[in-house]
Amino acid sequence: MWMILRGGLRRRWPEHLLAAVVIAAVVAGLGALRATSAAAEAEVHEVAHRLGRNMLLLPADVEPADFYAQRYRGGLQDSAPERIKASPAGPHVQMMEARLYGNLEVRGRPVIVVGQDLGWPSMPDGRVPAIAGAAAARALELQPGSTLELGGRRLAIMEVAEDPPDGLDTAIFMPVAASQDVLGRPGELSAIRLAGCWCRVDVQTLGTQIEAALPGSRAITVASVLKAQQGTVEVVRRYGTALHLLAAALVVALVASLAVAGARRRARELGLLAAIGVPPGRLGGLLVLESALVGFAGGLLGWLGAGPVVRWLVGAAADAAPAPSFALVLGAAALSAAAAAVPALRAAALDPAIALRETAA
Amino acid sequence: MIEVHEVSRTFPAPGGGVVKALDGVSLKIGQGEFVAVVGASGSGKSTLLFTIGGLSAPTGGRVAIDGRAVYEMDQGARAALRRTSVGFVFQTFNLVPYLTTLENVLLPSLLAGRSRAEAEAAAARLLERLGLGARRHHRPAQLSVGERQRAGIARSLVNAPGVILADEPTGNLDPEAASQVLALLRQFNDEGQTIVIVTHDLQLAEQARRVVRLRAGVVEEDRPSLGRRLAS
Repeated sequence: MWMILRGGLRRRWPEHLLAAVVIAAVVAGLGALRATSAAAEAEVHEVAHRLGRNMLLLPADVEPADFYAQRYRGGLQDSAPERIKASPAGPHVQMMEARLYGNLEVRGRPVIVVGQDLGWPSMPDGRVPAIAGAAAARALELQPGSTLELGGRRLAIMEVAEDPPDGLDTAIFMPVAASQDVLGRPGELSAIRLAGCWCRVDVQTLGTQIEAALPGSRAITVASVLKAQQGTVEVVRRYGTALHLLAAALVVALVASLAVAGARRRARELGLLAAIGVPPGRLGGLLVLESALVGFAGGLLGWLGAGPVVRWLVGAAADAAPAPSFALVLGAAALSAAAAAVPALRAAALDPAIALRETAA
Repeated sequence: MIEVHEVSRTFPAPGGGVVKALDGVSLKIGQGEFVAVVGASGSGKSTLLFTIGGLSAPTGGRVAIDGRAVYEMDQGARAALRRTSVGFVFQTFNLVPYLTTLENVLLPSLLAGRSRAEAEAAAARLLERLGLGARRHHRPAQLSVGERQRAGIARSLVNAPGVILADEPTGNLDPEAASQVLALLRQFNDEGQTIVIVTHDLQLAEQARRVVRLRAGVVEEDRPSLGRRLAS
């Protein structure tokens, strides 16, 4: 029977290829959906983890994921801390830390400039005190006591930080005013970290008050992140289930219609096989196996293709995405077999005498 | 021995009602006989052949091959009977188009459980005998119609069945190819093979040993062929 199976697959290769490609696209799509939504969940968890009990204020058009991926853009005005203090939320804020972040290229190496007021010492020679992250120090050959010319300012490297905050290993830390000069963004801030005792106040309400005080800003709290995540996960789940059902229906419809058309075209061949002694069960099994193999091939193709699709959709975040489950491949094969079962068994049960006579030339 | 006893077969008519393809047909065909079933189109010849071969269940009556009631078996046993005891030859050859001549001929052997090597050897021997040795690796589309029919005959014989059932085996052939096919069938009959052919060609029918004429599903005539009468 392998001869017949192989011959049948080879003879009808265009339609089998079409079915396999469609199934591959469906499986790759589902695999990519699962992987990207899992990657998105992981990213939100990471943001929530970093925020801890604090609140982060960002420009409204900056995504927290971009911010934590060190892709900096947009800005807040440096009057923002004063306006927060003066707002109804001000009394609840116990600590505010304004920062300016920016990406620069120094001697062909990417460097992050971080402006942050730490109570820097004043330098008698007019140089600006600065701390270099370990990777930045290695790349630019800096050590305590070195001087670095950056954006027209002379930076005195006070220290090399082996374990800088937020993993900013390639950063040069300096006062906010100096970073504004270096980056050419006077009067601008990238983010404000806020801390306080939030236990007597609803953190989300506080965030809303701060956003109202600073139009164009966005307050990110663990609560808001988690709430957004729950909403996103719920939507993804809901649409994901619908999408899975739709994909399954598409595969079933495609495979079943191909099985019906194939069985009709091969009626005489099936009649002949019955005449030379192939039992109906084996005939039906042959057609089902043929469809299952097409489903398996398509599923495998889609499974292999899902990784590149995820990478294309989410870029480097794909590294964190789990590999699509191989169950998708087995599912595609099983679904194809199930879809072909009824047409195959009906074709196999057809009276061979009728099949041979009706289709005779 | 083939026994057909009071066999009837009806089909639903397109406009309602039923068409009686066979109406109480009874026949006994002994081992080694060469029987031609003749009749006009629609007289029930092919239906009788397929019913004898276990391909189309009668609506009434009984068919037995070597004492085994064909339609009292389950489907699996009936398929096994077709694999081992019956060989079919068709007017339109019915070769599997994507298999080679050799593969077409050895297929029933493989189905009967022979090893590939045994099946290939048996198929190759038959193809040599039927003059198709050089065509064994050709596909049906690369053969002439006469060669296709000879390949069909080889396939029907490969499992050495007791009975060959041939449905208009020369219907699609030119006179030369038809006489070659007929000569082959006679040759196998001379070696003891039971053969039942269905034909509307009376000249061909007379070259069998016995002629059964059907009209509207009823046996109208059952007699020795002219050739047989002449010989006796």
